[in-house]
Formats: sequence, C-alpha cells, structure tokens
Amino acid sequence: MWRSLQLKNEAFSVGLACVVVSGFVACLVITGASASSGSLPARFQLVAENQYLQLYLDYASTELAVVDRAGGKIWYSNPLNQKATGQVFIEYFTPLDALKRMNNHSDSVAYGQYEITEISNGIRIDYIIGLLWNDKDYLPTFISEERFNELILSRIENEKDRAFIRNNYVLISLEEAPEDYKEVSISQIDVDALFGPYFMKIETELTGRARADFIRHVLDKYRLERTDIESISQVTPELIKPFINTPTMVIKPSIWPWDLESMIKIIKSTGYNPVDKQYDCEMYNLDPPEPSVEVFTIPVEYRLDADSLVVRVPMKDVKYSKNVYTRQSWGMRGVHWKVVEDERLMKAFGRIEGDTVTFPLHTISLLRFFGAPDAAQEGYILIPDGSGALVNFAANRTRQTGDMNLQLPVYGQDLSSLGKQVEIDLEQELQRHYERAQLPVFGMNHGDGGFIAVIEEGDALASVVVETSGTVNPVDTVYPKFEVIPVGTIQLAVSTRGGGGAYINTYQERLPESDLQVRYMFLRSGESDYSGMARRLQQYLVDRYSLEKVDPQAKIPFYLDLIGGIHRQKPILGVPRQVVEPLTTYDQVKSIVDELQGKGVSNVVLRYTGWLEGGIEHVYPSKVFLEPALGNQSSFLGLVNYLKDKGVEFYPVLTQTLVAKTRSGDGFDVDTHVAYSLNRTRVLRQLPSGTNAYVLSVSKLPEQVEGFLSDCSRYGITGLALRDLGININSDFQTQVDRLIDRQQARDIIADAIARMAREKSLIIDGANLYGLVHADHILNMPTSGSGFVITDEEVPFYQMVIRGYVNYAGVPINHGDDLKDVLLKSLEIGAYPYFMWSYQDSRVLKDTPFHYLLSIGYKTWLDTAVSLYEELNRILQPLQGQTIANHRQLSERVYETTYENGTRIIVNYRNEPVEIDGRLIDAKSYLVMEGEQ
Amino acid sequence: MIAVMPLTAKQPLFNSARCGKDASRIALPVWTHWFKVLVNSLAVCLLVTLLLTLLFAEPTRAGAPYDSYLYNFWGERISSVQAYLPSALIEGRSLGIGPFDRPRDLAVAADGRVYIVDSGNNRLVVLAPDLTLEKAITTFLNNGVEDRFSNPMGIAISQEGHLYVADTEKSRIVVLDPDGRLIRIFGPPKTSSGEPALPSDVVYRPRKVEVDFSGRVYVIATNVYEGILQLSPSGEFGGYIGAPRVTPSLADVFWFRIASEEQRSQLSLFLPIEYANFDLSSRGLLYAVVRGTYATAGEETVKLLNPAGQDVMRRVSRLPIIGDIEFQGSSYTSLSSFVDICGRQYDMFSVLDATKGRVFTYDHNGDLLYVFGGLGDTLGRFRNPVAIDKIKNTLLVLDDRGVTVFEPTSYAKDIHTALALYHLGKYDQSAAVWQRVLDQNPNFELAYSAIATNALRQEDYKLALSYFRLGQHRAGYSDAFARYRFETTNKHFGRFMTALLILILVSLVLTKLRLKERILRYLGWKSNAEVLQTLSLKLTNSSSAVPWRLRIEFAVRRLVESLRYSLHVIFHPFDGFWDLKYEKRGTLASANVLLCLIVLTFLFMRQYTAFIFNYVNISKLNVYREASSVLVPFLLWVVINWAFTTLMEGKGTLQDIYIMSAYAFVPFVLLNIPATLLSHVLTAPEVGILMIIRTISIVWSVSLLIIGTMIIHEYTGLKTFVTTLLVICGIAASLFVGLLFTSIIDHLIRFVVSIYTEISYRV
Repeated sequence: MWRSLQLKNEAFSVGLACVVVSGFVACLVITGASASSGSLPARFQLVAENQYLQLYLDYASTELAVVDRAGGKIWYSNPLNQKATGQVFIEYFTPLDALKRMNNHSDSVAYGQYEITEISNGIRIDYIIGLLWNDKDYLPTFISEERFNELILSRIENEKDRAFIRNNYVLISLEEAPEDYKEVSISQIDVDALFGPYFMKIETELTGRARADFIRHVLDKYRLERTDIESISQVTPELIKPFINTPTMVIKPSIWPWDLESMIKIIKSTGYNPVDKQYDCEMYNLDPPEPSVEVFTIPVEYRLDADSLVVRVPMKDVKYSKNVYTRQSWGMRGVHWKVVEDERLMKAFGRIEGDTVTFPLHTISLLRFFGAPDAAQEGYILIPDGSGALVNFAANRTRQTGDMNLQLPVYGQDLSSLGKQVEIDLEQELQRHYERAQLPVFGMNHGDGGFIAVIEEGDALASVVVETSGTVNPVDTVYPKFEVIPVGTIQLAVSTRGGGGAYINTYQERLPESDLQVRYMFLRSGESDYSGMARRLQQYLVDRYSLEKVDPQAKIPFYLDLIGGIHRQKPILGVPRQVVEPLTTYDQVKSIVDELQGKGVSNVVLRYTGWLEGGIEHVYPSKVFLEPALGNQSSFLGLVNYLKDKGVEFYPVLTQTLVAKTRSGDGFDVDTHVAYSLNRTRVLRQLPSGTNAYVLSVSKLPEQVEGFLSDCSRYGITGLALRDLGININSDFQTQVDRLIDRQQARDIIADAIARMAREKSLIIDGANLYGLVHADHILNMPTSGSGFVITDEEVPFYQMVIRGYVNYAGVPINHGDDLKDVLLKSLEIGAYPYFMWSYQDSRVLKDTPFHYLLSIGYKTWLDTAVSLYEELNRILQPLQGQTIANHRQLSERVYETTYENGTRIIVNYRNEPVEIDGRLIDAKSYLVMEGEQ
Repeated sequence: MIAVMPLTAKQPLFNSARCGKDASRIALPVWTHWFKVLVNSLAVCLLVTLLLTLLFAEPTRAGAPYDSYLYNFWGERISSVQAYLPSALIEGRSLGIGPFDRPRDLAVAADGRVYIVDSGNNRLVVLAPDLTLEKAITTFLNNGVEDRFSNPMGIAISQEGHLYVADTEKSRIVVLDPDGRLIRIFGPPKTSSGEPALPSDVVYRPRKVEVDFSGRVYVIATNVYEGILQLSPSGEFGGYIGAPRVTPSLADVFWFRIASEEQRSQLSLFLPIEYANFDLSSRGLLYAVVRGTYATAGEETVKLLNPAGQDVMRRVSRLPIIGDIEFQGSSYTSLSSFVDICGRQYDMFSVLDATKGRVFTYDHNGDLLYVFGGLGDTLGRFRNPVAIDKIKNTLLVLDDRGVTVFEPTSYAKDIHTALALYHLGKYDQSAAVWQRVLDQNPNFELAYSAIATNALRQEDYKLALSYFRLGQHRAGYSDAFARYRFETTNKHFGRFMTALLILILVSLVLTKLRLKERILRYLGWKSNAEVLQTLSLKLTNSSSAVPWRLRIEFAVRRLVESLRYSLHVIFHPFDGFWDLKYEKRGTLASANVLLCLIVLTFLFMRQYTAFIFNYVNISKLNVYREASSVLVPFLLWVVINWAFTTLMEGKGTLQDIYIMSAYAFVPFVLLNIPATLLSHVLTAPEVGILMIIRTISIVWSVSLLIIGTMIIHEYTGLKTFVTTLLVICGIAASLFVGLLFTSIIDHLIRFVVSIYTEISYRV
C-alpha cells in the first residue's frame, strides 16, 4: 500500500511538473508544402527533423503532424476540423469485470497529467491516464493557521477571493481551560473526558446551543476524515492531541456546493495540492487523501527514422494498478483475494475495510486517427485480411458500411485464450471461415500520398482495427490495437440443480515483456496505391531479413501432397480399435511420382502427410516414429534415396503444436507439456476429424525440434513441411508469472524454432505468418483471397505482391477448391504454382472415416487434369519465376491485370462473359498474356 | 425381450411410420424401444462429464465463407463440396437509390426482372435481368389519385407478368402491371354473400401473396391461423387451405365432451398453424413453410400443398425435411426455422432457415442435396435473411442488407445435370454424371444409390451391391441381392444340387450304418457321461490326494456334461429344471459359460446380421455398452427375482435362479446364430423368416424362464405369473432409481469440480 501510494505521489508530481510551453512561436518555414495539403496550423512546433521528414507536436493537445519534405504532404495524428481527438486509447477492466475505456485526450491531457521529454530524433510523452485526484482532495478540512496563511491566503492575489476563502474557514484551537470552565454538554459525547483539561477556543465566541453545534460539527468533520471511526463518540483525547495549542483552520459547516466549487478553483490556483493536504491530514491524525488507483501510466515515443515515423511504447514503463489497496470497496465479485504484503501492513494498522484491487490494462491502441481523411477525400485503407483487402473511404464507398468496425487479430486466434464456453459454438464456424491476418501491416492511400505501417514489435499481441465513418465513428481510420493483458472467463460454482454459476474474468498475470512498436513508412503521390505499399514493404523485408530472389528452374514446381495414413475406428469382434489405414504407401509414392514424371511433370515438390506414427494425426514428434502401416524402415530409406535420385524435393509433413496422440517413449507428459488456458485448464482443441488434441506449451518446442532434427539425419531427410508453426501462436497462461509465456514470447520461441530448422533443412511452411515466411523455401496453403467481410470493398493479392519473387508459393490444394478455370486464373493473377493433395487409394475409402472432410483425393481422378493444368501454367509462369509483381490493378468488375517485374502483363477475366480490354477481346473465364516490352 | 432389440436399435420412433423404402422394418412393441432408450440414456448420463471438455474445432482454411455439409444415413453431419458460392451483394447504396430499409420479399419475373419489396421505404425496387437498377416504384395512380404503399411485405408475379403486392398496413393486395400502372386492388376478403371472411376482431394484414396459373390468389395474413387464404381471380374468398387436419385422440374427445362452452372455445385455440411463406411450384402446387421450428411447430415445417390443401410432399428419405438435424437421445429434432421456400426445376426445392441463415436444397424425394449460407458479416452470410428466389439456377437471398447472388459451382451443376438426365429418362448418362459428382464428393450417399440403381438396371449386380451398400440403401441392396441370388443359383444350380444330394446321401448312409458310433466304439471311446461316472467314483472313493490333473479333467467333463444337459432342459423344461436344481445337473460354471454365450450371440447378431437387416452403425459400435445392455437386465432379473421370491416363499436360491435363467436362454443362442448366418442369403421381403426364428427364440426363452421360475420356486401357475409381473415392475423401478442416482452423482461431480475451480482461482 505504501509503495503504491508513493508511486502515485511521483506520478502526481510528474503531472504537476508538466511542461507548459508558452510564448514560443514556431517560426520554421515549411518547405515545399503544396497548396492542396494546406499549411500547418501554428500550434504545431517542430520537435525533430531529418532529410525526409519533419515531426511537429502540439504541446497543448499532444497532437502530431508529420511533414513529408519531398512531397509536402502533411500527416496529422488527428484530422483537423474533426471531433476525433486523442492518440492513445486504452481499454481496461474494473475489479467488477466491467470493460471501460479511456484515452489520453480526455483522461490525461485534459487534467494536465502528462510530461513531454525530448529524445534523440523525437519526443517522448508520458501520460497518466485516468483522473489521479478528486477535486475534494484539493480542499483542506483541517489545516494549521500558519500553513493556511502561507500556502493559501498569501498566494491569492485577488482581495475578494482571499476574503471569500478566509470567511469559509473558522480558526479553532484547544487551549488550557480556566479553572472554573464549564463546557457545554453535547449529547452522546462526554465532553469533559474528551477535552480533559482543555477547551475549544473558537474564533468567534459562541455560546450554548450554537457552541455545542459547532463542536459537534468539528468532531463530525473529523470523524468523516477517518474511515475507522463511525461516530463522533469514538473520537478519543489521544486523537485530538494535535489541536492542542495549535491554531487550526477548520472548514465551515454548510457551504453551498457552488461556493465549494469556486473554493476548489481558487485553492487549485494557489498551488495547494493533495500532497500538501496529505501532510496536513497526517498532522491531525486524519486519513490522507488517496490518489485514484484507476490510473494507467503509458509512455509513448515518437521518433523519425529515415523516411519513417516510429511509434513505440516502452513496456517496462507501462503501469497499471495490480493488487493495490484502496479504501473504496469494490464488492466481492471478481476481486483478487490475494493476501499481499500491503494488505497485511494495513491490517497491522487496524484498517482492513476496503479492498485490494486490480485494474487490468486490457488493450492499448496507438494513433487511432492517424491520417484519417476528410469527408470528401477519396482513397482507401489496406488491411491484411487474408491476402489483403481494401476498405474505401466514405467518399467512394460502394456499400452500406458506415459505422462498422472490424478487428483483425494479427496471426489469427490464440488457441489458449478462449472466450466464454457459450460463445464458442456461435463463433466457431465464423472463425473457421475467416482468413488469417499473416502480415502485421496496414496502410492508407489518400491518392496524393499514403503510408504503409508495419507492427515491428508486439506484433503477435496486435490487432488491426478499421473503422468506417458514420454517425458514431467520426472518421474512416485504421490503427493497431495491442492486447497486452488477455482476458478469459471462468465459471463459478454450478449449483446442484444444474443452474450455471456466474462467469468471472481471469486475466494474464502480467504485462507482456516486449515493447510495442509501429513503423509508418510514407509513400509519395503516384506510389501510394497498394502496389506501391507492397513494393515498399517488400523492400523493407528484403533489407531487414536479407531475402534472396528465387532461382529460375527449367520448369515450375508442381506441389504434391501425398497422404500416407489416416486412422479410423474399427471394431474387431465388437471391440472398437483405432487402426491406421494406409492411403499411400512408400511404394505407391514412388509409382505416383514416376507416373507424373513420365507425363512431363519433372519438377515435383513432394510433401508427405501422415507418414509419422498415427497417420495424419500423428504422435508427438520428439523423434521420427515411422508409421508401420506404410512400409518398414528400410523401405522408407529407400523412398528417400529414390526421390533424391529422381530429383524430387521431399518434404515430410510435421504437426508440432497440436498433439493428437502420444506413445510411450516420446517424452510427452501431459503435466508439463500442455499449455494452460486463461481459465486454468490445460488446453484441448477439437481437430476437424473430431479428435481432441492437446495444445503444446511452446516452452517445450525447442526441445522437441532438437530431438526431431537429430533423428531426421538418420533418414537423410533434407526438407520438412511445417503444418502449424507458420500459423498457430499459442500462449501458455501459467499462473506463475515466471513460467507464463505470453503471446509475443510464444511468437519469438516459434520464430527461433523455425530459424533453427531453416539452418539445417529447407522448409515448406503452411500459411506462413511474417516470422515464418522469411525462412521458407516454399509457402503452401496461403490465403489467396480475403474473408469477404462486408466492410471491405475489394480484395487484393497484397501478400503475394510482397513475397513474389523471393519465395515460391501456392494456395490450398486445387482438388479442394473451386472450379478449375477459376483456379487457373487465380494462379496467373497471383503467380502461384499448382498444388494438389492426393492419395493412391480412391477417395471412397474416406467415407465413414473421421477424415471424410478431405473429400476428393483419389489421384487417378485427377492425374490428367493436373498434368494439363501444369502444362498450361508452366508455359506462362516458367519465364516469370523469380519475378516480383510490379503492379496489380482492377480493370473492370472481376477483371484484373498483373504486371510482373519484367513487364509481362497478364489480364484475367473471371466473368462469365467476354470483356474487351484495350481493343482486345478476352473470353469468359479466360486470360491474356502480353510479353514485356524490355 | 433382449433379443428383439437388435432390429430396433438406434431407430427413431417416428421413422417406422416414414420408411417407404425400408420394407424390412418391423413394427415392434414400443416398450422394447423405451427400454432400449432407458439403457442408452444410462450410458449417456455417464458420458456427459466427458463431453464437456470438447472445445471448438480447428480453424481450417477458409476459401468459402461457410461450411458445406450433408447428413449421412446415421444422421451425422459429414463434409461436402461447396455447391453455391456468393458472387455479389446488391445493396441500395450500390444501386444508387439509398440504403434498403428492412426489405422483406423478392420475386423474379419470367422475363428475368427482379422485384424487391423494400418495406421500410415503402417502395418496389425493380432490377433488370443483369441485376442493374431499372427503377423504383414508390407511387401509382389510383383513380387518378397518387397512391402509396404502406409497409408492403410480400410480392408475387402472375403468369401474365402482373405484380401482386401485399400492401400490409393498408389491408389490401395491389395488382400492378410491369410498368407500375394499377390494374386492380383486392381489399379485405369477402365471402360470396358479401360478408367479411375474417372475424371482426382480426385486422386483415396480408403478409405474403402468391398467384397461381389460373389467377387464384393465395394470401398469408398476420394473425390468421386457420391456414392460407384463397381468393378467386375475382377476389372472392374461397376458404382456407393447408390447415392441419386434426385427428383428435380419445382423450381429446373425452375432454372436449366434458368441457364447458368457454373452455371449448379455448381448446380450439390449440390447433393454429401459421405459414411463414410459400412459393408456387412449376406444377402449380404450393410449396409452403410453417413458422417455427420442427420442435415447436408440432407439424411438418415444409409442405407441398395441392389445390385441395392436402400435403402431397414425398417423404421417402430416411431423414426428415427439417434442415439442420440434431440428435436428441435417439430421435431427431431441429432448430431450423424456415422463412421462405423456392420451388426449383425437377421438383427440387430450396428452403431458407433464419436460425442459422442456411439454405437447404432437397430433391423430389426429400433427400438433402446441398447446404450453403450462414449468419455473419462476410459476403455469402446474412443478417436476418427473409426471402429466397431463383433465376434459372442462380439463387438470390434477401436479407436486411440486400440481395446476395449465389452461383452454382461445377459440383452443383453436375448434381442438377444428373437429376435432369434422370427426369428425362436418360439413366445411363445420369449415372455417369453422378459418378462425376462422387469423384468430387465421396461422402454423397445419394450418388452411390443413384449409380447403383442404374447398375441394377444394367444387371451389373456386383457394382449395384457395393454401391447400394456405400449409399446405405437397404431396399435397393435387397433388390439387387435378390436378382444376384437368383442369377447365381441359376448358374450354379447343377453343382449346388449335386452337392446337396451327395450331402444327403452321405448323411443317410452314415445314419443307416451308425458308422460313427461303430468307429468310436472300435477306438475304445467312451461317452462323456461314462467317463464322468468313473471319475466321480474315483474322486469320492480315494481318501488320499487326487492328482490335480484328474480334478481338472473332472471339472471340464462335468462342465461339458452340464452344458449338454441344457439341450435336454430346453425340450423337457419341467423335469429339466427340476433336475438342474435337485439333481445338481446344472453348475455355476456352465451357467457362466452360457451367459457369456448369450452376450456373444447378442454381439454377433448386432454385428454380423446381413446389411439388409442391420441398422447398427458398426463403426461406432461400442462393445461394452452393447454387452451391458444384455448383462444389466439379466442380472437385474436374477437379483430382483430372488428378492421377490424370497419374500414370497420361493424355494430357489440366488444361485438356482441364476443357473435357471442362463439355461432358459439357450434357445436364444441356438436359434439366433444360425438365423444371423441365414440373414446373409435372405432379401428384404423374406424378413419374415428371420422374424419368425427370432420370435420363436424369444417366446421359447421367455416360456422357459417362466416355467423355470415355477419349478425352482415350486410355485403354482398364478403365483408364477404374479411374481413375474412384480419382477418386471421391480426392474423398471430399479432402473429408474439407477438413472436418478447417476444423474445426482453427475451433478455432484460437476458441483465439486466447479467448487474446486473457484477455490483454485480465488487462492
């Protein structure tokens, strides 16, 4: 308790000491500001600049402006002339589990609770969000005459005000009573015992009833300032000792509320503050005023780094009230009942009413209105929904999508953080059909400029939020929101009658350790469309991860996923048993590969799913446990060598974070290897087949990877296909703070594991979030479209435009997908290679097994189709290997043009009727290739 | 009573009434079913706590915005291929006429124009066939005065292209020509004598309207529960159609008789039906959907009404036409509540469900073809869907946002082609297309059956049999099997008869010559009884230690002997059971063996009864549950029989009862194993043979049980009868208590678990 009080004091003084800059006029000339951008209002002052950008700050509102020196475009953190104020928005929970929101504008800047310091290339602003002191904490109840005169009266300049304040206080003191003094009697109180040899000397002589009433008032005021005393009869001589021979000012009884208001106003202006009041209270044995615990310290740094603005929240300086003592009672529900040191201290002092409370800081949103457009401005927002999607500004919106919000969790849902059990069923289907956000980016295009922002740190905690303007939302905007303390729910005791108990929230026990950092990279007019954003992002990734271009090969890759075994329930004499049914044995793999190569598909990149013990849902892969139903160990070695001879890249598939089966000797231990969810149970998740799988605690991932890799070398496996590492990030919400792995830590562990594997093996990574794709040789099962949210106006292949040329990729298996025509067109549009998932057995064997969802996988059904599709794609895409996508645009409805690096243009027409483009007719569901001019 | 179960197991009650295809189904006493349900739910109760741990499914790849699925023979949801994908969302804003406000209906004219009733804006929005805006009708001239709609809710288009708009708040049907000129107005319906057709306290508010080929108008009106209002082309009220036919039960009649006038009027309120929407089929019949879910409507929720108002929907599919199917114990239910229906070519129809926003499409037999749609905020999902219609094979779904256009995928096109070819009688080509459908979706049972039917026509029995089996089509399988059996026996008749003759001859010779006995005698073989006698003499006479091998041999031989004796018992029950008890001819060991045999026979029947007669999902068969469904009643019988007979001066001990009961079920074992084997050469029409054998086995066993009870307790006939009744009641009571107990235990466990969670959270 003391510690927390101290902290608040510090915070308070920070608030008071906030820099007030006055009379300083920015006299810098803004160079090259175009007329269309308008000129920068004078309230902005230059705080940093480099050759590309200038950073301005309004010290009064902490609004920012960034000037792009080359183009002259000015980016504001808050749109001018709009009621969209604030830069930092937080959500937090009260001890009663209610979600509340605050922001730096109305809950910090308005109270002056912020401090601005200069840092290299920028500034840092420390906000205390949430009102620290109540108004009444400024008003002294008892104060010594000396301090009253010195701290208050002498500082009031206005004569009238001084008199007004003075008149509302009465001077009293306890002085030695004359021998024969007879105090007036006051009901309930033994006045003589209380005052002993003293009597209360009052400034204005009062007698009889009036005197009794006044003494009662003084005692009453005294009682009210102490929480442990309930009635004035409990006031003891010991307590009122400080009044002895001390002239004390006491506030008058019955002051009108409006007078109180003006008193507070005047006293505030004198500089008398709650810290002074604390001193006075302690002097008179009163409870000192407590600062509010409903406050959050959030520092934000803005820096210019070359052509980008970097926004950063140093997490170590972020503070929220956790297990602090407060005299206010918050009720029983949801309160952390932990016995903490402070509370014990409080007990020792005999004050135990009140609660120990926590205000978990749920989310932090940064620069919520950055770059928000005017109502008339045309342009769009780019969000990383699947392959990418655009949300038009209000001016060119095509749908009834005002006042909508969309929150895209970067890298998808955390399997360990579950919502309420009841919500799960509702959400489950929707979730399944949402595309993942695999790049932690968002962008905005104003036409005359734009930006692409990358969430560099804390990316796994972030969501990209887009809001469309309407009557509720003031502007169209896109911003990052970081979930710093995830919340889960737990159901309290269920009654025996089956009635459900109430749900209460559970929270992650601490803040994440990673900082939050977002980089806004600005684009000039003409380069600010999504092609420009993709090029800028690509350049950023190439620089940062030193990516290398793909080497062209004689033929494009043909991705083939063969399914080894699946498990199914089979009754043997009525006893149900799980058996693995081979769908493609080692020998059958060879024959399919031979058949393909015989038909001219020379560059087969082979994945092999379900080769580990147990089939598709295999055992914990701490070592290589081969599935015996597919052949013996030596024939597996034979297969590996055979494929090597045939020049087929071989990638056996591995599922690492979901453990569907275990076997003896795999070292998997439910007690230690399974992640915890926020409701303090081990996480089990149902796979599409209906099997319940454990979610692995990522702390065990490095160990598993080492074990598996060292075993791999025995079999001469040179490549691995990672099915879930590139997609899933799951926290481990242990209750012990030191064992807890937050989502960002999980992301780092996974990224390291992928990097570790990439050092030894070439990798196919499924989906591939940003941290995975930079290590991948091939990416499969990537999203090729958006989720189709109604809020979005267009879907764009942004993901592909960023990575094309640096890694080869394909979407989902073609035999799972839509019409072949569409698949062909999509492949040409996004530069993807063909990918099939097959089994040697006919797909009829899947009927009545848990894997019925695989649908059409019999290879004989598909072989000829696949070969002809491959040939057609190879003809066009072969020369485009290693070529980036220079530009992509929509020519008309469902007709797109992709321009590759070498100038080759491909126009695809998804429509059911022919279209005419530049005088050339393109058939329905057809395409047109125009070779580059170079 | 145990033996009857295999045929009824896991079949919902109402299904027996609905299975046109499954001739093999036999109506069985309901109580056997309920007994089964009781046993099943016992097991279910124990499973509940385990199921609680199930969490949501892994987010697999998206691709389409919703799941595509079907239901298999067992009513389980299985994956399917996407049949329809959304191609566009047409909104008021994108049309440039301002946002829609609660649009409530849509209709497609023969010329391809689409009419949307934008109820909140009181206008009709007309789209050209290419779905671009043509115009919005907000006013029309009525006797030279400008008139407007007020909250119109429905629209229909007649043969000649006239628009019939249900102008709800103005209590009228407005008829316009395609250019928006008024043709006529139907006010509140009146009978031919000019009286108002509706009671005076009901305000006429037409919600949906439909017009048939002859110009008759059908209206669904709010607060009218008698059915669909039918108006003649001239606007005269022609009565209600589609009201449910009430067949009162005896109890209803009784209550109605004794009820007062006031009560009677209230009673009649319990038979309302409210239609949600309807659509005219290509044959001029009315497809109609009833408001409410399958559970709450108390009625089929999808109907096909003929002009007389009778439901003529074909319901030959095993699964009912109820949208999403959920198991409730062992019967089906559904949460789907349909809001609109769309009749399509070849008697297909699509229904729109508001609960989950899905569109279900069924074929002419009521078999589910495909499902798409859902609630949500992505393209292809809906917010409060209200209406569905079609332009050829393109489907339009109207929700609060606007019209979503769905295009068929190649998979759906294949299904349509296959159905079309079938309707044209081109069965071979149809089967080829069905094969293509199967290549895409190996889970589609209907496709297997369709191909098998064609194979049967072409006399390819092998293929037909395997595909009927995959399609879980038992009636078809039976047909194919009958033909196959006929062909095979014909082909091999000579060989078959020769073998039979030789067999008969050999056995005759053997019997005549008593060869077996002679040979055995020659080898010095002694019968088991003889050996046993000498052994027992040896054992009783020798006072010293008898070698253990002799003891074991004695035990085994005694067991064999007592088992052999069971054959005597079942034919001579009176002295058989007497000897069992008093001559110690039956042993505990043999009774144990017999009980094992009974259980095994039961399991054998469940698993190995031929496909045609087997309604058990073998891949899901749980041997322990099955065994307990025999053992639990058996042991209950023994214990409760003992409990009652002890009170009623029965002479039998617990052991006696146990042994007797085990012996009594020997006919069950002896008859059912051959019957199960025999089932493999029988076809559905011959199910009688199987049933006769099974019934005999039951009747025989139960008779033995009763005789046994009589003998070992030395009861009279009447006393036996009373005791048996008591025991049956006792079994029911103890099962009830057992269930109660399990459920309490279950609650207790959950309570303790949640207390634990709470404490662990607090500390």
